[in-house]
Amino acid sequence: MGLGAIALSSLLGRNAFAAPAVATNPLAARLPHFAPKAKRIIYLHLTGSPPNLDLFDYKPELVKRDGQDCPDDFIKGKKFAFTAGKPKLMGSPRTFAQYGRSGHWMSDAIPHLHTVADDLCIIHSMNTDQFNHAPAELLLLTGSPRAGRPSLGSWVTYGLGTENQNLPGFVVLISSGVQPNGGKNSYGSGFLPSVFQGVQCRSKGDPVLYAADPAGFTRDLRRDSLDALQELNELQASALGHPETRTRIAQYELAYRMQMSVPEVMDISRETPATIAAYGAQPGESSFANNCLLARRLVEQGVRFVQLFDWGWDFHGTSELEDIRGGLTKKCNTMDRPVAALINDLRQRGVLEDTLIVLGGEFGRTPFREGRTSAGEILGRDHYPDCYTMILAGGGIKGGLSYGETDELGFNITRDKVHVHDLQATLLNQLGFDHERLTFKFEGRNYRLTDVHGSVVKGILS
Amino acid sequence: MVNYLVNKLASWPARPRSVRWLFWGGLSALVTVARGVVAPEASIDFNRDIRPVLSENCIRCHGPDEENRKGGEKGQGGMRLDTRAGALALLDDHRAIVPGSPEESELYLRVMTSDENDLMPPLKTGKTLTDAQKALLKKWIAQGAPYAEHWSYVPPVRPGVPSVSQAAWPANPIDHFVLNRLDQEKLAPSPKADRATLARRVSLDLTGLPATPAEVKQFLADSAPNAYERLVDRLLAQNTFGEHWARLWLDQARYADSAGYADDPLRMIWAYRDYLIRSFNSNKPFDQFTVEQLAGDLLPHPTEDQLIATAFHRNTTTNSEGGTIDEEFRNMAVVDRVNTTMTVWMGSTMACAQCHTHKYDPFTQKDYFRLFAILNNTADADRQDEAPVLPLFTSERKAQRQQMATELAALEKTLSTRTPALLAAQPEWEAAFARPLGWQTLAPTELKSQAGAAIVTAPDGVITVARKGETDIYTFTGAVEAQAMTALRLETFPSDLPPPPGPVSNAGEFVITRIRAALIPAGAHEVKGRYVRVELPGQAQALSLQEVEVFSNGDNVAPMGAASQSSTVGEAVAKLAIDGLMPSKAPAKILATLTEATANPWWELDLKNLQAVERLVVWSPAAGNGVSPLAGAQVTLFDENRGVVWRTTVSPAPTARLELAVSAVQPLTFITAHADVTQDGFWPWSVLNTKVGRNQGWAVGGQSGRPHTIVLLPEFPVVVPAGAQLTVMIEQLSKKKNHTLPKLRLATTANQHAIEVTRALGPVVEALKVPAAVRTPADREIATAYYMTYAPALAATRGQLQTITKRLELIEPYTTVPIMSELAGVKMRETHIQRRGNYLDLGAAVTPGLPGALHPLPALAQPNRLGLAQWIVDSKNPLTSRVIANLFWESIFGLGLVRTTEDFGSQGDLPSHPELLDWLAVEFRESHWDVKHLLRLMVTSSTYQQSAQISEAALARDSANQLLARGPRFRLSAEMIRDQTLAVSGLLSQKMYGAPVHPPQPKLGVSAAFGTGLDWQTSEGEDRYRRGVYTAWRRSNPYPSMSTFDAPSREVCLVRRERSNTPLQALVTLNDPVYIEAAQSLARRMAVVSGSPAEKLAHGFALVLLRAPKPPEQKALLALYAKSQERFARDAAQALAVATNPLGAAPAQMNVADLAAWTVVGNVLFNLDEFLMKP
Repeated sequence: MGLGAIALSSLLGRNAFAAPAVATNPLAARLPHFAPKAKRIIYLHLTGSPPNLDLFDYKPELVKRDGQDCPDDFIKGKKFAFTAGKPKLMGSPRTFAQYGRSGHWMSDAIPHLHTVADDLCIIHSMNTDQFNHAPAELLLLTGSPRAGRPSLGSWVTYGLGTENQNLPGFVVLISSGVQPNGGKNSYGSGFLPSVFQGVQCRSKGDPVLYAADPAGFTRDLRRDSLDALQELNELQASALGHPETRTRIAQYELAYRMQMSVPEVMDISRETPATIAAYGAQPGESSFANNCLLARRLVEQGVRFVQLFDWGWDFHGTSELEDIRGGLTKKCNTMDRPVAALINDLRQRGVLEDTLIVLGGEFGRTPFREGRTSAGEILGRDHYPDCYTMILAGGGIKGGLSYGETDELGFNITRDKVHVHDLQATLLNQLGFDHERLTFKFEGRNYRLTDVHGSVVKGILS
Repeated sequence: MVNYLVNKLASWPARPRSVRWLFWGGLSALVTVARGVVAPEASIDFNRDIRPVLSENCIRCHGPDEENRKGGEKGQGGMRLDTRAGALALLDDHRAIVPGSPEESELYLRVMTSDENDLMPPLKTGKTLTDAQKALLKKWIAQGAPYAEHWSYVPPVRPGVPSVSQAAWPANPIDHFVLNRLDQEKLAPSPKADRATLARRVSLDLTGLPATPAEVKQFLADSAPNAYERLVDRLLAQNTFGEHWARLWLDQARYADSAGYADDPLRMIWAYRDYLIRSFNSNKPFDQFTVEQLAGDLLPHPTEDQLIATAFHRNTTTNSEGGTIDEEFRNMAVVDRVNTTMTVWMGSTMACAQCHTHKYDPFTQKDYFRLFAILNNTADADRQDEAPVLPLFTSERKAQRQQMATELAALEKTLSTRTPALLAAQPEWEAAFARPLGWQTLAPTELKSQAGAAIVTAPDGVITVARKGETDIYTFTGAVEAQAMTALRLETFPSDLPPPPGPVSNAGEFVITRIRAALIPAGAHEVKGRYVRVELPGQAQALSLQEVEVFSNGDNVAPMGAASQSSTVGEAVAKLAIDGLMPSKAPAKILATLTEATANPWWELDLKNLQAVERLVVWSPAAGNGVSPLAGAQVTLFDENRGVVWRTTVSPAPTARLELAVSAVQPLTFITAHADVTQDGFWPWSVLNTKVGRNQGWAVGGQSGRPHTIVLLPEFPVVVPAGAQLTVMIEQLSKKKNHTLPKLRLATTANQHAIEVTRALGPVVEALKVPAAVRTPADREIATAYYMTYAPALAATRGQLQTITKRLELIEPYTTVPIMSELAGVKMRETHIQRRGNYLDLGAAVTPGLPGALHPLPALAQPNRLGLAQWIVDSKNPLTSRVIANLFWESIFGLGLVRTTEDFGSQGDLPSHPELLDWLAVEFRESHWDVKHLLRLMVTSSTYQQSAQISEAALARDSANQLLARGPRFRLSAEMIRDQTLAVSGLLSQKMYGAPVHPPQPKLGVSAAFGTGLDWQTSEGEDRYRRGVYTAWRRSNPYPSMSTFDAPSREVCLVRRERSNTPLQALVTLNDPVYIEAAQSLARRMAVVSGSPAEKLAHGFALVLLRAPKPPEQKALLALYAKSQERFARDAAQALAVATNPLGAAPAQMNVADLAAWTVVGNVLFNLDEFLMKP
């Protein structure tokens, strides 16, 4: 019975405003609860969590007290992944300055982002409950530290459907060759119907699994096969009268179109050389830059949620790649230019205002030096859940705003706390959803992304 | 970008309206609403009509959760609507319900009011009551507002079988209930499906595979009246039955071959999957099946199978990401076990009560943690090694082990038998025992401190260290006399210096984390290196290594290094050779590195710093032809400046394991250590253990003011060659800072009695001090017992015992499986209520127990896991038999009698056929929980055998087929689609059981976070074509084609799978090489049939769909065949690709263009709606 009448009925039951088209196609475009500020989200997840204190959260006092013992008050009763005993405070070795009319403090690791400072809303007061990667990432992206809940993109697709029926509604792009910490759960549909899960598209190899015709199956041969298939399926549909057969016929035609449209949209060599250069992309490769450009191409074609994962932001200092000096510069070079280019590109195309960009990791990093490497040359920081920075741009968010504050050493939030559930509520709000009403009934309970928490961060809305 | 939403905003609906009942509600509601009104005279049924309305709209704020209950003045406990007493209670000046008087009832007034501030449910909840619902509430209150216990908590009683309109239709009682209901709804059942359809349907349902053409033929030819029942019995007896039904249970058990979380390491637990297959095939009674899985280990004398069964709850995920707190994730696993147990067996959503008293169902938070306490007492603790695990041996090895055990028992008997001859020799032994051991002080000539502390030695051998640094490693080297060394002694002394300023606690305290020693024979010297390189000289060589071990002071340090190689083929990356997995240790397939075939390929390991290396062990992939593939390879050790410090060329060898001695330095292995004093938890033997790390070590806790000794014993006397030097490293790397030794002395002895003297405990020493003649009987016994363990005359027997014990240890299991093991005595865990479900925020302690609102623990049962299991299958349990009967019903009919299979609570759906459900539940229980009997009843019913054809009118009336006026038809599961395709193409392997297999999957080129690559090496031979139930299940990346067809990732228990229908599924069955290969194989089966294309097609069509094609079907497919054949005749390369890639070369006599054309046809057949659906 198509998608499963149960799921649909639930969807209908919860979201009674949904268009009738849903009954036959779960991915049909639907309206949210109220007029949205953003029509789509590009979520750039920096897997591992970048050091906020070396990028966006400038702490001159911490620099002054570099090398001193960490004050007891800050660490008493707290647990850290790799640090025990009394660690030493570590001021950022990076150079900070203010940029744009807004005067955002930013470090020298991200020169291109300096140029779009006034587009950025920098939230300094993010916090989470988890200090290990996988649970923290799951909490951020699914609302629960345990695997098994639907991801943000799945909730959005469940609520909105998809505008372009020739493309998946929720696309995932992975660079650096490593799955996110939560594995597929970080973009899975949990207990929502699987049509709402993120579809990983790849810039190398088959853009979508099994999208390429097998060797020797030319397009016209495939067309002939599909025609015969359709003929037989039509006979079956008339003989038995099951609506699912008709759905299947439609899905095969959609698959056929998707085989054409996905490779097309995934082919960045169709962009102008100037655009490719602006992103620092390289057609045929797999990189964060390529994925940023792909994200723009996808949202342009009607994809509502594009989720990027980029591995390699876990700056413990256990190797030179994880050093917050040279290592961070190198890693930022792969992110800084494409993110700035994406913002500029969307602005030039007039869609930045209704496209919400999210940039950040799953937690923060400590103001002190990571314990394991305290005797070495390489500087790194441990995981820290109590405060960190996330960046939002476009999509009805105040550009140039600095929101929330941490204390002078970066240990605690002193103003306007934003929990990850609040961020989730805010992202849904921008897409036109009341996070308390976007629910799905499972095992006797109406579940939602924000669990039983979260409130919209009104102060950052434009 | 378009402004599509702006356009749509114009048509915005004013206000959400709930249409829930049209699609989701219990069927009675569906039918009622569909008809428009409730019959005015009908009396209200609380469970059917009122509870769902209250539950959906009111109970969240006016239910059992007293902390958050709303209504009335603060502190009064709020208004309660889930119980009648609560609803009738006086709150301020009103009552929620005044029976008989809707207009005086606050509940009714508040749902009717036009004042938005007073309206219930509140506007912001987005919920509204329909006029029909409001009318129902009014009528119910007017009728006196009777409440009833929730239906599922009332134990089922077998109802009478109702009468029906067509007496001939029912085949068994199921049909009476179904037809009675259809009669009421004025509907008629559908005609019986044709026999071929039935054969395919029932075969898929019972075995997960289509019937073979032979089976269909036999069935069609069977004219006996019970031909169908005979077919059913044949299918129930097949081994494929268990393989199919195990799958259902694997979802419940959240089974996977990996442990979950970020790095998602592989986990060996497949013996549990095989247990399920065996259990279903042997038709194990479901109550026994339940008890074994929840508490097999607690049964008296559990069998191996009963222990394997307990892996059910070891399928929880474990987190081995660096820096995690094991207790946090152990706690999460217990939470999962509580929730899974209650969901799987009792359809109860206990999970809510982890944080607060359940908002809808009668479970308090205390209930939750009492149940938690029952499951909180097992030995597993989120450890990376999955302990405790049960090793499993083949029957041959079991026999060997049994044989050895018998031999050991005989030897032990000899060793414990005090013969007169033995007793006569005791005085002689005692005399030797009494002599001093003759310790010889080591006078080190080389003294080093890693921290750079100053060291001086005194003439008496006492070494004083001016302690420096938070931790230190002392290294002392000196000459030892040429003889046999039987023990090494370290004496510690308090410092002569006044305690340093600062915390007193560590003034004289020390922790020794490890002691290592090595002999350096004369002329030998330590070899230190940083890089290990293996290079294969020559042209077009490929270098492959399974493992490289680098031993430094006795430890393999390779896994701590970083590996690289000249080039990499696929996923055979360099680091696979230092993953610590040795072919001899892991029965699973060990992955090897592989370079491309180039000139002089190399593999290199960077140890990260200069280290002493005494030997290397290089494992190469199996040496099939008797010659190591590494023959001629050059192995080099470089120093930090890449100077060669050691090099060798590998000579031809028949083994996969090459041991290369780098230096003559001989690390010593000690088997035990004894100390005069030990601090609790800081045991002396921990100085021998490489895995102790910085948390333990040997310490004397508060007694550092006087000297102490620790003696280390090698297993056999160490032969010390003339001129040899002894090096002793004393590691003091404790997390407790500044716990280093101030003064010490080292000594060795060659006395052969060193072991027995050292090991003698106080009472033995005291007993032996007394002359034998005047010993008390107790002392005499102590002395003799101790003597017996060392009696020289028994040395050979002891040696034998040791040898056999070692051989026994070397017998390797074919697999291991994590199991449950109950903690006893002081190790039992205490459970507290966890506030808001936070394991660090503990409330009151609770005792183990079961939810108070349900039936009590059966008589004689204990409140432990076994008691829990007995309680679950107790005849008084109102839920289990219903929940499980419903689960099987859903598998067969596509929709549960309770549609919310996983929730029988007040938030779940009401049963569509409550009496049928109760009848099945009682029948199931009273048939001794006979699963095959239950399934047989279902598939032999007339209800099941109906045609699935559906009319427009029937679709409009009951699209989901909940009234069962037609046969069940729905999409096959992911595994069934795979298995069916392989089966009809002739590729499917019939091999059962064993390690998970790796069918082809696309190369993804990504790794799990912190983990290994997610790509795998495709299995070879028939393992490539095994049933889906054997496919390796990696949680972070479930097998892609099956997950596209809604197979779950199995992190958590999943009672009911989705059945989606998406374009991505079309891409799998059209393009996945697995399906192309099957089409190619089917093509060969068609092409060999002699005769016309129509005859060949008919053969293939019958294989796939078990019927003949209809004329228009035949016409379309033959046209496709002809057109394709023409195309392929023109293009040989295209034909070859379509016919042979990936299946392989076509048989010589076959026409490739023809095969290619049939492949195209086969590909269409595998994508037919009819093929993907149960008919």
